[in-house]
Amino acid sequence: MKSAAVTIAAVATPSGKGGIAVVRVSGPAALAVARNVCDHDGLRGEVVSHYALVGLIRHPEGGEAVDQAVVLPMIAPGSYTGEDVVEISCHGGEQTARLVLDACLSAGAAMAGPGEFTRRAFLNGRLSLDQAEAVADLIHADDALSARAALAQLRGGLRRELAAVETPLLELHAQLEGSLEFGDEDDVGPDSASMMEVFASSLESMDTLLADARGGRLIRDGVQVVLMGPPNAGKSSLFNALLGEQRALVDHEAGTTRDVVSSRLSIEGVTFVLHDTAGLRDDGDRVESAGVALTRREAARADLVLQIQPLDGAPTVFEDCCAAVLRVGSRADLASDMTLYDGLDVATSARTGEGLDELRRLMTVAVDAGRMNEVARAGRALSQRHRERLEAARTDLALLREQAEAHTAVEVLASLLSGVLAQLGEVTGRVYSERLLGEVFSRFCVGK
Amino acid sequence: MIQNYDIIVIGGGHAGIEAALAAAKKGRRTALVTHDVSEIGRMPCNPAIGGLGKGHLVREIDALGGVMGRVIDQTGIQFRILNRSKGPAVQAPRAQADKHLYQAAMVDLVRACPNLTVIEGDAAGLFTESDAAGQRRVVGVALGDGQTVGSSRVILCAGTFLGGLMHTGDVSTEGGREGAASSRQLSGGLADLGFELVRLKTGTPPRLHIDSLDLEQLEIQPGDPDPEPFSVFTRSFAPRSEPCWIAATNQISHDLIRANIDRSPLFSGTIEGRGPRYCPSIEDKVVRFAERTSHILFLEPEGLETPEIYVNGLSTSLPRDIQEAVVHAIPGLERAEFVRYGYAVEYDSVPSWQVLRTLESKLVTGLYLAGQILGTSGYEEAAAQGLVAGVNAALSLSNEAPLVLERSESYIGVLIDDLVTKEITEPYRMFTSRAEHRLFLRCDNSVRRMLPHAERLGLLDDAEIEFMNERVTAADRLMKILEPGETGSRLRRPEESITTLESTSSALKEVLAQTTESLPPEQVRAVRLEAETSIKYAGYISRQRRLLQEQSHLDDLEIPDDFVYDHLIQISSEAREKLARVRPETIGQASRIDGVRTSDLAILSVLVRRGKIS
Repeated sequence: MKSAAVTIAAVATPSGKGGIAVVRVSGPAALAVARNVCDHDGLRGEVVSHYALVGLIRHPEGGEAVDQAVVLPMIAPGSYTGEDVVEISCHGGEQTARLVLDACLSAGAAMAGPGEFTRRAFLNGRLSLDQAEAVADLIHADDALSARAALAQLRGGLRRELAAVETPLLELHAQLEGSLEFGDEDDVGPDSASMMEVFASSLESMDTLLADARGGRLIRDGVQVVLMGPPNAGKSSLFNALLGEQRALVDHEAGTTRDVVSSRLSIEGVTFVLHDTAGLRDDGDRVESAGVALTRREAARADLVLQIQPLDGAPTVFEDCCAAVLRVGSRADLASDMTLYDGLDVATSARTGEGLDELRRLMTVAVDAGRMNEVARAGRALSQRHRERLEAARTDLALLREQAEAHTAVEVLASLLSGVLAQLGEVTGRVYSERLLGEVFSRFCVGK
Repeated sequence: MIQNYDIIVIGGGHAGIEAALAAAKKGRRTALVTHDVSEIGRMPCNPAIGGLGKGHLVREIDALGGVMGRVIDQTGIQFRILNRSKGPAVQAPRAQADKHLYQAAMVDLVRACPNLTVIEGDAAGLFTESDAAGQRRVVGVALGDGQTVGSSRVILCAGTFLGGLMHTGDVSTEGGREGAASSRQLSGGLADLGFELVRLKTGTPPRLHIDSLDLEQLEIQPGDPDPEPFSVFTRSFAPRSEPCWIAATNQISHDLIRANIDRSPLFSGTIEGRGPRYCPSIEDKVVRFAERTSHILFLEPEGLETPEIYVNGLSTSLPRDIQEAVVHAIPGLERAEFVRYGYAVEYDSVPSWQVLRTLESKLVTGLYLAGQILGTSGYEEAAAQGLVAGVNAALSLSNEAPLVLERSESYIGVLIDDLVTKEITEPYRMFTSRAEHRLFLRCDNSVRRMLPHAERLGLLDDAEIEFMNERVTAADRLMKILEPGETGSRLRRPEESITTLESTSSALKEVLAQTTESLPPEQVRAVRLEAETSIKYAGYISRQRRLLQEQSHLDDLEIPDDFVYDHLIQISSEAREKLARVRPETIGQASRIDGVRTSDLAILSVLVRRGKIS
């Protein structure tokens, strides 16, 4: 295979973060590349697999020292890609990692394309399709919960969940086939009641998986939180107070925030993406009314809306929106008469910090963070593709149940059932489809 | 070489007959080599044709111009449509044959066929030549008496005769079946040419004398009151309707079998070959289903003039005294006399990955294999392959495109595709569940499905082709009446049928009767069923097709003949080994090989396409 002859390298850890960056080299010349950049006895002669060495990394041309690093050789096929791999863990910072990578490229490695390590791992049979997708998620993960979901899936959690749905259906399929093939000879068919039972319990399991899939999206993309309220209600102040830094421009003149300002926040391992918005007032200037329209769109897409009621102003009537809502009083330190405002969930003050912990707690309750943790642990955080396939399988299964109730011929039921099983099979990659592979591999970034 | 033929067929069984007749009908000078001309078309096991999957095959053979369907229609003594209570796609015809009449009719057909010569003798070996590139091709056949027959096309249909060994209890006899010698030399010759051989086994039950049975004690299984023929060309169909009987084993018989299990060569280790799971011997059934206290037996007459009764379900290789004791423990069979005892037969087969979809061997150009020698079981499976091999040998002589049927259009396509891709570990029998397009591959529409091929092949005469077209048109006309509006939506409900619609509208009944007026009466039920089912199933069939297409749009990507698998270190060694051995012609075939995983296919398709670009 031509591509296997090329040895590739890339920084495998995300840019900008962390104390350690890993440069990964994979391919038949990985050890040669390592020898070229690191003069260590352990890299000469018979190299011991999975035995870490500490050595000085030098640029092969000129020989300048780049970093003191941990060099970990992994001999094929016992590596991530199934090829010879050397991982160089260098001291953090993009600059160092780039210099080490430069050294490896000068030593004969080629720059890895997007997703190329994982592609090689997959093609070498080191990953199943759902595991490969989980790796993509792991890369996108930027908090503990997300990483946990990705890890559980990598360990076959999703496969176990799906097997629990699949196995009774496979058994039923076999029984149906048996009754068609040997119907005249023996009494081997499933009775209608037990068939309906299998359909009902499989539909229920699928529904649970699909409901958890929403949790999966929240884990992957973060909970989208929109702050809404009248102009100068103190939204940006609260936004900054929650984040603990001056992120949004704060001004006492009403209508300062014209665009949506977003920032990420982690509470109890759950990522919240806060969107600070323009105040909801229709009589501002034109730039601001564009901002108001944007606010309404954001609110419609939000998972959680914080309706901000300034406690030193008139009670506000908020528009209905479909997502979960928390009504948050702001400027509690300036409040005169709290009885004016109905249905407040919490009173806060950005200045004194009053009520902020309670607001954070309410936010995790509103999105059921406990459930999300559970979902993540069980590995049921389904990707978009998994969700679509599972939805298709569920639709087919519901149709199958209808047909079974209408006493449609068993041969038709068997055919519909094999369709359901084919859909389920695509989630675990059992059924071959190149479109599916293309979809999966287009999502990998450089390094994994 | 003393004589030359265009095509030589070795073996006069169900594969050999169809192969020889097809080749001769294509205008090729054909020789059929067989031990004994009177044995042509013999039924060594079950005196029946058809059944699920098998009946489907016979309907396709018939529509392509084969003879199996016509001959059973002439010589059958009981006809039934199986699975009448189930859907139309799993309904299939089955008939009890008068095996002597069936055999005699086949002998007559072969003798009367122009261009076809029967050579009585033993095929002892194949003559081959190698070209400059080292590819072997067949040039002739050596006969046991030292004579030689020359031909560039040889179709080997040797059944169970290659290295055949029969077992009853501790007695083993060389032979392909009772009273017939086996061909040890030919088997060795194939191994010398480089063919891999495996041992398979199969068995047959005892035959009892009808006068010794107490039929009063047994349940009668009658034929259909309105029998339907296999062949669409059969006219004035009024067959005999002889009964079969149903009996059952009991605890006493099971205890006897268990007590003597070590005397069965199947269990004592004398037999090394692998037998079919779907047709187990009675000793297998008793051991594997220990909780069952009874197994059903069907007593089937072997013919009108013979007293032999075939005990379907009691295949065995136990010693004779135990066979007698087991049978005598069964109510109704207490005084049964044995005409013949059951036995197991072991034989060499050529694992079928060694042939192409045309059934020509990969190793030797011009050598075709068909039937039980390729690891299948059953007369119908054999006949289907014989027809395909005979036609393809003839087409190759005139450089015409071969007959390659697809899985999506026929059971024959499913059969051959399975043979060239699947690891056959037991004798292969057709089942309807092997066909992923089962809702479309029905007995009622076999004419429609095979018509384009039949027209090209030319095995049928003009009148027959014309009738096939008429039948298709008649079904179309019915559909045109039934499909639109309220009639169509009612018909799509599971509980409705043409008959229920007719019961509420005499006008409709009359119109439909007029539409099918010109059809022969035997065909009316099937044509009505075709129209009805086509309407009922249209949605399901297109749904199934869409789903299968989604999964398999790379199926047609061809893998070059010279593709090298040895360097494919990225795929599992198991997959590499199987791919290198099977050498699939397309990615679709590769995907159906056991042990080849999704990831293996991904690599393979990438490499195949890369090869095509560079």
